[in-house]
Amino acid sequence: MTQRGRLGQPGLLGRWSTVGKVAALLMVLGVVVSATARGEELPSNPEKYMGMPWLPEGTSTYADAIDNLFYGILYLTGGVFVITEALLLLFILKYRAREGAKSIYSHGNHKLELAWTLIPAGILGTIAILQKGTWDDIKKPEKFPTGDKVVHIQTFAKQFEWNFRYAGADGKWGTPDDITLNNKLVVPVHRPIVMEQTSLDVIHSFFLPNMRLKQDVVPGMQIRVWFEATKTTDEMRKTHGKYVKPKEFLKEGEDPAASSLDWNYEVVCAELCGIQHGEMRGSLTVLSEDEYKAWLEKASKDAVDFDKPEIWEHWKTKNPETGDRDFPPRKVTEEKEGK
Amino acid sequence: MSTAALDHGGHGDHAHHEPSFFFKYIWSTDHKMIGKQFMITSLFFFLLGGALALAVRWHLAWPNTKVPLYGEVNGNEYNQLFTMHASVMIFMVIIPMLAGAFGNFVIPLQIGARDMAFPWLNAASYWLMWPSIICLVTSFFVPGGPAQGGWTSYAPLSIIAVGSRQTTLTPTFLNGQNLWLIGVMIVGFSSVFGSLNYVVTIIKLRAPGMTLFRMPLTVWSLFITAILSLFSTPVLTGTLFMQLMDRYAGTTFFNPGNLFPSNHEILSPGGGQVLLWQHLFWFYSHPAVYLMILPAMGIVSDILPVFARKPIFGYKPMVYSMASIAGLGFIVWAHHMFQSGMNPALGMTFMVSTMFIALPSAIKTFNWLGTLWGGNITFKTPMLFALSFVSMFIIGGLSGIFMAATPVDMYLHDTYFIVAHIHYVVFCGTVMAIFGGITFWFPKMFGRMMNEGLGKLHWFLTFIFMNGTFFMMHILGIGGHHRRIASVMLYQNLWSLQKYNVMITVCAIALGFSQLLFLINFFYSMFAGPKAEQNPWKANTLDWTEAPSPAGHGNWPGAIPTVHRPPYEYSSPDVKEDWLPQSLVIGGQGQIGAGHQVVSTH
Repeated sequence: MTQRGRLGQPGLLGRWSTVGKVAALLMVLGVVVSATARGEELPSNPEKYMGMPWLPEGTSTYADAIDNLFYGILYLTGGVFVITEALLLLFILKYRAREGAKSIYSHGNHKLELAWTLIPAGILGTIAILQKGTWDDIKKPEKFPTGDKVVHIQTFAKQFEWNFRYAGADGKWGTPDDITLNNKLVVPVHRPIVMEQTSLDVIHSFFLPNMRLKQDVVPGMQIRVWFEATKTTDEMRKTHGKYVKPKEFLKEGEDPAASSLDWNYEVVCAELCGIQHGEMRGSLTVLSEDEYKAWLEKASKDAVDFDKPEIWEHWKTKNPETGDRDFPPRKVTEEKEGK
Repeated sequence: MSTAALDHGGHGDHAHHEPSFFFKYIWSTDHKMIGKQFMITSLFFFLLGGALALAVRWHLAWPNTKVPLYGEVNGNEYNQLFTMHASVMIFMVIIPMLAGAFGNFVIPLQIGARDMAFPWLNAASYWLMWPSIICLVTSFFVPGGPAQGGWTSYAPLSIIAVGSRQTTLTPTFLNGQNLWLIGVMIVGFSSVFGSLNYVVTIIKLRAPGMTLFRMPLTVWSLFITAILSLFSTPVLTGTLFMQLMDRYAGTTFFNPGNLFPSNHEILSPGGGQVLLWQHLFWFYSHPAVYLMILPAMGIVSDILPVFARKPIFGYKPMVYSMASIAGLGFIVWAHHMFQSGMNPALGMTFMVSTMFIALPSAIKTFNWLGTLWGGNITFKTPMLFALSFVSMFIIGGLSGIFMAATPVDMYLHDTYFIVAHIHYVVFCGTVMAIFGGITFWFPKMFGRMMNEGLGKLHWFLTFIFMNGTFFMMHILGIGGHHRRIASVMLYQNLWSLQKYNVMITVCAIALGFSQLLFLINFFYSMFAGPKAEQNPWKANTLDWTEAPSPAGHGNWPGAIPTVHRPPYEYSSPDVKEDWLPQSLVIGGQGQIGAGHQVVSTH
């Protein structure tokens, strides 16, 4: 009786074609990776890691804790990835069909099953325990910073803009010097910022990439978040280059150097919120304590009195030119500034 | 011996019993034809969904240019494109392909049944897809265009979208969002009908000797998936209906009131809960993710032993891990909502359950590696796809651990890292298994072999370009590229990522065109491929050893086969050959129910 232990004959290129294919695959991947790594060097934000874009510099008090978790998981999963893929490749190469060979007749191994259940369970359990503290410190309301140093800001998100409200120089809400900023957030460095956020229409998501903070802003809910910046915008500009417009975005004849922009902290909407979701963004300016005080004084003086009912009445009606509601009511702002 | 009523397998031989064209190809109640119907429909929508994805990618890479064959894309159309890409791919391609096509075709053949328990319900399950298809396709042509709230359709954005009665804008019934809701609701019925059928068929119609723990793992995976789907789909149907009522009848389940959208007034008094939608939606849609991966795992677990000529490593752990994925799948839904504003204390609960659902997946991966260990592996096209599934599923599984860690999720949530993760699981995982499954069962479906060279070329190009497309998305996400934005033009902090967007798009286009090779191979081989033997892969399961290729009406030419052993007895020391069919009797008594079989050299 003939041995029928194989499926068909070796392929067109023989048995080694598999090895050749794997080698070719690795070569192509290598070429792709090196091609991207040698791309033109743009000033970096996000940072670079082996020529690839990487996490932007973390500049909040809890950014390091989050990044450490990220790297911990990266090394762990990276290790598991390398080991499992290497085993897979090894088995594919080593146990490829041979003339007359017969497989090992095995239905499994109880001890092995136990090992590869319990060890990953232990590792995953450990990750679960390790991250608990960080999560609680950031998101649990009872652990939020308190005291005189805290700056309170209210957020009103709407399609497609961020509005931030400050109590003003007197530190009291509902007074004429309350400040409302549109698509612009100004905070002092090294002071905890506690923000109470709500949305006026749909769900938005408040995302500060450098602070590693993200929180959905939900209509009908008041959700509090906090962060504390560790670097001012000026400090960041010293270590980060200007942004250069990629060629895909240049209009005809536009000079990339002329369209370059200064480095800035971004305020991003990360949750789909409608037609112009991709345009809903603001900037965050982190000032030193002194600069912040000076800014607060000046801004309070220029503030619009939002407690006047006519301003809200004005807001409820649409702007005849744009068909939108203006928030903050720009017309009133202009009138006041004109005086 | 089976009764005469059940035993109508011989009927196919008589010409006068041949059904008319209508009953053979259109309203067929034969599970094999229904499976093929599902398969070809899904393949068509796979092209449509892919084209939508390419339009999305084109706009991301070159936002200042027109998309070929489509034209200018504005923000609204961009939202429509990715919403419909996901909806088509999930509801019209992956789920119908896995549950509909493989479920129908494979289950009766592998458990030794003549057909499904309810053939008529089975046909209804396929034809219910069509109203749903009509809804989704029509929605491209109604005023305002198709749904644009993402496939997750988060309230209240979806509630106040075009055509809703809750706003001062002119309400219409025929609008994209309503049609999306109705379409998905109907496809839910299709999936419940199918699931009901599978569960009953598997419980009641197994061949003599086919105990539960002798079932092939594809059947196990489809059984578990069907149960999962039976429990979760009604929740989705109810939820979709609630949103439809919010939009059409003025209820406010998901509308908290006092909303002031930029271009219109809200009429409703409110009182609803925004997060309720997310809880209900993910209560279905998280299990749905497992609906989309479990059958793929089953198919791969069937292909690996055949081409490694080795029993599956740890059969029972494989079954238990699938069952525990299904069980745990019901208590992890809120891990999509860590940053949604729900109580942060819940984050801990769902983080722990999420960490532990990674465990069964890890067990399965190790068992697949164990199956390859000490094997005698041949690299036919189905095997190449199955091996790619294993290697890619490792990436997709491991990247999930990042998001399971709640603090890390704070940064990665809603970035391209998530997009990379879902595509590694669903494209690089499930779609690989689907290609593997189609190339594996093609001879049984059409009685012809697919072209091996073309198949391998398709596999090679797909493998290269899908990694080129999806791997860099991890890096984009780590760089802070958030998802669902039409271009990074406005975000200076992402400008340096643009060249990777271009690279991804180039790979995506190449990936899209590589799929044409598969279609050519599929349709050419269907009519002109070389005739297939009954059991070209020398597999053990009933579909290969007992049914002819292609299997006729009633599946088994003789009596229903009897099963004597587990499905993966390859390289058994009891026989000289390296395969030992489930239905074969050893010990001189001859064979039962397989009188004409090629397996006679023992």
